[in-house]
Amino acid sequence: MANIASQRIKREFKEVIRSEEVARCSIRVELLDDNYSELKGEIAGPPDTPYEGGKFQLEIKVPETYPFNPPKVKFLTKVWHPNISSVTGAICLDILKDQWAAAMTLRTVLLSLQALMASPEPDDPQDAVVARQYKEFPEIFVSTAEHWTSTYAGGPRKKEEYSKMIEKLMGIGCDMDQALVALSSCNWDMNKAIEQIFG
Amino acid sequence: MDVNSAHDSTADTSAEPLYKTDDPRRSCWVCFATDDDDNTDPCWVQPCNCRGTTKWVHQSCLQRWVDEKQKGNALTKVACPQCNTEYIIVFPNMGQLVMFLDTVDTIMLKMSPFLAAGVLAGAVYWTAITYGAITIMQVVGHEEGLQVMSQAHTLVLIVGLPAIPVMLIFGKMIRWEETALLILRKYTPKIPILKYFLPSFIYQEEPEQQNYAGVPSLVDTICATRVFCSALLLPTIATFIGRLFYESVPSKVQRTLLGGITFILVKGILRIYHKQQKYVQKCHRRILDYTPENIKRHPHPLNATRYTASGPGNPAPSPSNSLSPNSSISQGLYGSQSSLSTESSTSSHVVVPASL
Repeated sequence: MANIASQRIKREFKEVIRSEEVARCSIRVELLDDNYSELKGEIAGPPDTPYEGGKFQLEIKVPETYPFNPPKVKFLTKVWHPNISSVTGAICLDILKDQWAAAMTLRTVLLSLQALMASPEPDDPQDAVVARQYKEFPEIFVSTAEHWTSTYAGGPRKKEEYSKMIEKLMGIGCDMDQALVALSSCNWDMNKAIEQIFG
Repeated sequence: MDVNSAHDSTADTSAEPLYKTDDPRRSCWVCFATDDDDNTDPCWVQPCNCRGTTKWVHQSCLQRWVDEKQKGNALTKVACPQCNTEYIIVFPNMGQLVMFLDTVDTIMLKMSPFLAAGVLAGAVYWTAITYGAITIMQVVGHEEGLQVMSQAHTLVLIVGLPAIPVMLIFGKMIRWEETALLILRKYTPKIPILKYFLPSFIYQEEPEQQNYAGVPSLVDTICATRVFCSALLLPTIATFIGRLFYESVPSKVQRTLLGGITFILVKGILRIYHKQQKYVQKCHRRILDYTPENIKRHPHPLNATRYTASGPGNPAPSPSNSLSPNSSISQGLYGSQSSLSTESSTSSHVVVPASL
């Protein structure tokens, strides 16, 4: 890796370790290899959102041309959010694309992602299904996102009704992820979900 | 060439002692190195309104960032991503000649697309005029054509001659056969005489096939090159047919017109007939069971090679090398295939139209 990129990541890494967010357990960064090109991030779900109490893992890949090009970030933890793909974890955020500036750091990227979780942009969606639910059925969106947070990110708010529906679908031969995705995208309509899986 | 040092931005900043004293620990917002980190003495700039951690940046780091934002176009304006201040980018003055060459370069770069488009349009126009003139001479006759054109007003020639190929192509776009075919399909079952003469137009689609509304049908799309060719060849063909069949007609123009009408009508009728037969053929298509006798009767090229490639060291012969002596079996199989295709033009492995 180019010298400037690894030098800078080293410095940023120290900055994140020292920052007050780490002290509050709000963000965390972990090295995956020696040459600072792959990192693992973790952000806490922001308070007063459906993601509260969850820990979300991120994959961070630092390109050779860093900091002139943005790092490639995606969610490893599955999350139900209009700007994050519920399938791949890809993120739709301008600063990770054309609005990147060299002065931004791992820390500011992680904080921006936290801010994105707290305030979704349904008009510029990454996951159109989630965005439509967010706009048309806000209550269902909140409870679905809470259920996903509890299922994948260790959040506290599990909805018993949803768990029962998932178990029912698992009883007829789907796996848990499949059942959860189908029910979530069908606004928890059992018949529609069955149709989506087996139809 | 004289290098004007007053325009050199590096000279500007390094000659500024004020900033060096006012911020003892500068850090670069690109590489994050601070004054303490640097062993060499890099060149610092403060290119925008930013204060705090994004106030200072290395000249070299900022140059690289500007390169990244400009993406090869050195004249693109670049602003600070934080405070949106546009950077003041200056180039050293390389003298009058370089400036002049720069201007010429820019003008040429901007003009060339328009010039190229103009040349292209001109070429197309001249081709159209030439085609129009040739067509007139073909239809009216060589001497008479030249006479007509020399008598006509210049404006008429400039507009009229290129309009000839354009009108031919537009005329070709009218798909009257299609309409005629639909009308025939609709009215043949109702009129007894037509029923007698055109039995294949009575055909109704089977109800089970009608259910698939979204299935793409065999409507042939308008092929641009085909329309182009047949439109531009029409006058030649019309002249030829006129000379062949209407020798008795005295006027050359009338002869050509009659020839053209004959050609269009005969071609249209043949086309309607062909389309209707294809349509009926498609409707009678059947897919056979994959049984040994059906495979034998309708061998697929792929199956044929599979059979011949039975020997371990024998490579599967492809249709192209079927003339080689060791692929006599495949030749035989292809032979049976070709005898089959005389029955129906769309024969393939399992899709076989019923006899019409």
